[in-house]
Amino acid sequence: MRNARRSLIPLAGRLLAIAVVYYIAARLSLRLSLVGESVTPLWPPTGIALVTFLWFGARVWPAIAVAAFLVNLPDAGVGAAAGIAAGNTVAPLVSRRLLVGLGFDERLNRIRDVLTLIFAGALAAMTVSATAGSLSLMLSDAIEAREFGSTWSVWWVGDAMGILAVAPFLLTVRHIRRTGPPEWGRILEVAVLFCGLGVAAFSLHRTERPVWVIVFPLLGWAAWRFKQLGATPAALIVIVIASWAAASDGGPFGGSDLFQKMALLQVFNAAVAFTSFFFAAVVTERERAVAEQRRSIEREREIQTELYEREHKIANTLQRSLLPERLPYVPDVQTAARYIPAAGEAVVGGDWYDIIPLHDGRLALGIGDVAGHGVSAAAAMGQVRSAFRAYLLEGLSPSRTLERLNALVRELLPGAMATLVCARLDPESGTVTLARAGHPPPVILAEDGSVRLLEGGLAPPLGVVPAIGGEETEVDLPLGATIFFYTDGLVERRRESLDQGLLRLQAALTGSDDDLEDTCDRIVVSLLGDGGLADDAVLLGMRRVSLVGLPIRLTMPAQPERLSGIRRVLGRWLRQNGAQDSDISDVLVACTEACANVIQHAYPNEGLMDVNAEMTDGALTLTVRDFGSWMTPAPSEGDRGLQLMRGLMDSVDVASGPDGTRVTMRRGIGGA
Amino acid sequence: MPDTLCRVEVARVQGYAVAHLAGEVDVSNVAYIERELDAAAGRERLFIVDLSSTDYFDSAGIRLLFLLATRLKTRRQELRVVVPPQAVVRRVLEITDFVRAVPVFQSLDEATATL
Repeated sequence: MRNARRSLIPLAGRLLAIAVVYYIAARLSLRLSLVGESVTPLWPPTGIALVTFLWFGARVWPAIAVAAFLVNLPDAGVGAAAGIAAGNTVAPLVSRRLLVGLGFDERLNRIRDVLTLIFAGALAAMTVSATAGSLSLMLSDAIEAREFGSTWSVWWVGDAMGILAVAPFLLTVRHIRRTGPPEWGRILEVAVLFCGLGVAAFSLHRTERPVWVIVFPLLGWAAWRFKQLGATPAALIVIVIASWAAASDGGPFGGSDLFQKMALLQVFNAAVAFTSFFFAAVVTERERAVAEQRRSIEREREIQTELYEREHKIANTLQRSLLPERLPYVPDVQTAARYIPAAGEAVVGGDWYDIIPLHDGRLALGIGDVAGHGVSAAAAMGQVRSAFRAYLLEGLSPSRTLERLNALVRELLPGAMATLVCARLDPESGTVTLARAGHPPPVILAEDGSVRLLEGGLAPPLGVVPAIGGEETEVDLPLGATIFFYTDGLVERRRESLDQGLLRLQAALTGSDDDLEDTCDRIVVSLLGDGGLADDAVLLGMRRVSLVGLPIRLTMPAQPERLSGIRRVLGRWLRQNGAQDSDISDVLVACTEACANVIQHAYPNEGLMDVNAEMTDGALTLTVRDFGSWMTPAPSEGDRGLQLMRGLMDSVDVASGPDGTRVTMRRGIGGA
Repeated sequence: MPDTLCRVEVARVQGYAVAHLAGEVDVSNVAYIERELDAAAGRERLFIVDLSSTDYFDSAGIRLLFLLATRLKTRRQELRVVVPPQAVVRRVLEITDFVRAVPVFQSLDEATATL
C-alpha cells in the first residue's frame, strides 16, 4: 500500500503538469481560430497530447481530458465542451495506438516513420476528433447543420497539422545529444537559417513581395544539414507563422472566403511538413547507408589484414620448420648455413636447403628457391625438399634427381617454378658432383683465399620445360677448400645485373678464416650492406678438413642405421692416419660389433653411443661407450661379437659401471 | 623396398641357385637379407651364397648364415658359401669357426664342381 501511495504522488504531479501545459497551449492556439471561437487551422495541443501518450502511456488520459474540457468550457458550454474533450482525448489515443502498432520510431530517421506519422498518426486518427468536435458544436447549436462539412474539414486539418507541426519537433528534440565542443560554424549556420526562415515565413503576412516561397529551399537546407533536428523546428516555425498569417487574413490568405483560405493554408502546411520530414528522413537513410557501407568496407579490410597476417605467420612457421634444425655432423666435412630473412615487412620466400648423409658415406646437399611467396610457396618447397631427400637416399645421381624433381613439379605443382642446386660430395676423394636447375653457380673458395665460380651442369629451372637433360659436372674439392651455395636473394639487387651481384659475392668471399662459421658471418655482413635484403636468402658452406693427427669423436643415437655412417667416417680417418686396407676392414668390424652391442643391449628405448678413435705412434685406441644400464650382461665369452673383437684387435677391455659401459680396443697399425 | 647397403642378385642354374651379396651386411639390414635369401633358396637341393663382392660382413651375417644352414638342412637342402682367398670378409669367417660348420669354397666353380 505504501508503495502504491508513493508512486501515486509523482503520477498526480505529472498529470497536473501535463494538464497545465495542454491548457496553456490550447489557450494560445485559440487565438488562431477561424470558425467561431473553437475551430482553428492549427491545433498544437493535439500534437502535445500525442507526444504525452507516446512518452507516458495511455494512462495519463485524464489530464488531457480535463484540460481539454476546461479549455472549451467558457465558449462551448458543458455539453459541447465534454464532447469536444472526448474527441480531443480519444483521437491522440487512437493515433498512438496506430503508431505503436505500425512500429513507429520517434526519431523519424526512416521514410516509413515519416509516412506512418502523416497518414496514420495524423490524417487517419484525427477524423475522430473532427467528427466528435463538429457534432458537439452542431448539437449545441454553435454552428448550423450546413456548416458541418466545412467545420469538420477545418477541424480535421487543424488537428492533423497540430500533430505534424508539434509532435515531430518534440519527439526529435528529445534525442539531441551534445557531442564534443560547440562548433561555432554550425551555430552561426543555424542562426542564419532560422532567421531566414522566420523572415521568409513572416512575409506571408504581406501581399507585396511573395518572398515566402524561399521557405522551401530553406527547409531543404535545414533538413539536409541537420536532418530531423533541423527539419522539425523549421517546419514548426513556418507552420505556426503561416497559420497565424491565415488567421489574420495576411498575404495570400487575404480576401478569399473561409474555405479557400483553409484549403490554401492546409496545402501550404502539408507541403511544408511533407518536404521537411521526408527530405530529412531521406538524407538520414542515405547517410546511414553510406556509413554502413563504409563500415562494411572497413570490416572487409580488417578481415583482409587479419588473413594476410595469419597467412604470413603460417608461411613463416612452415618455412622455418622445413629448414633443418641442425646440420649433420661429419668430422672431416665442416658445414655452416645462414638463413637471412628479407628486411622490413618481410615476405616469406620459398628458400630452402638440406644436407643429407647418404648410406655410402657421401654427403648430398641441396639448396633451392621456389618462386612466389607465402604459404603456397612454403608448402611447395616442403614437397620439393621431401622428394629431393627421397631420390638421393634411393641412390640417384644429382642430375637424375633434378630430372625426377622436374617431372614431379610438372605433375604435382602445375605452374610452379623452382631453382635448385644438387651436389654430392665424396668426403674421401673430395669429388663434388654438381647439377643445377636455373640456379646461380656455386663458388669454391680455395685455402689460399682465391675464388672460382662453378658454372657447369646447368639445366632450365624445374617446372618450366617438360623434361630436363642430365647435365652434371664434377669438380675437385681439395682438403681445406670450401664450396659455397646460395640463393639469388643474397646477390640480387634492384637495377643491377646478376653478373654484378656475382662479382660482389666473389669480392666478399675473397680472404681466409680458420673457421667456416666466421667466414659465413663475414660474407653475410659484407653483402647485407645497410638496407638489408629485399628477398630472403640462404648461404651454405661446406669445407673439407684434414683429420691427420687428430682424434675423432662421434656421438649419435644408438640406431642400426647409423652403423654404416660410422664405418665411413672411421674408415676415412684410418686411411688419412696411415692405416692399410686390411687394418681398416678389421677395425671396422670390431667397431661395428661394439656399437651393435650398444644398440641391442644398452637402452630399453633410445640413447646415445659414443665412438672415440686416437692414433699414437702407430697404435690405435678405439673406445665405444654408452650411457645406459645393460639389459643383459655385458658381452660375455661365447658371444660371437666379442669373439670377433678379440680376434681382430690386439686387446679388448670391457668396463661396466653405473653410468654405462666402455669397450676399449687397441691395435698396432701399419705393420707396427 | 631394396636395401641401399646391399644388393642381392639371384641366379638359377640347372640344379642349384646362387645369391650374390653385393655391398655390406650388418645388423641394420640383416633381416632384409634373410628374407631375400630364404626366397632365393626355394626348393633347390643346393643353395650357394656368394660373398665375393661383399665389402662388409660381421657377426650379424655369420648368425644369419648359421641359421640358414640349419633351416636348409631340415628341408634336405645344402648351403655352400663362396669366399675368395683375398676377400676382406674371410677373416671374419675364420675367427668365428664358420668354415668348420658350413662348406666354404674359394670360387663359384669350385662350389659347383661336386654337384
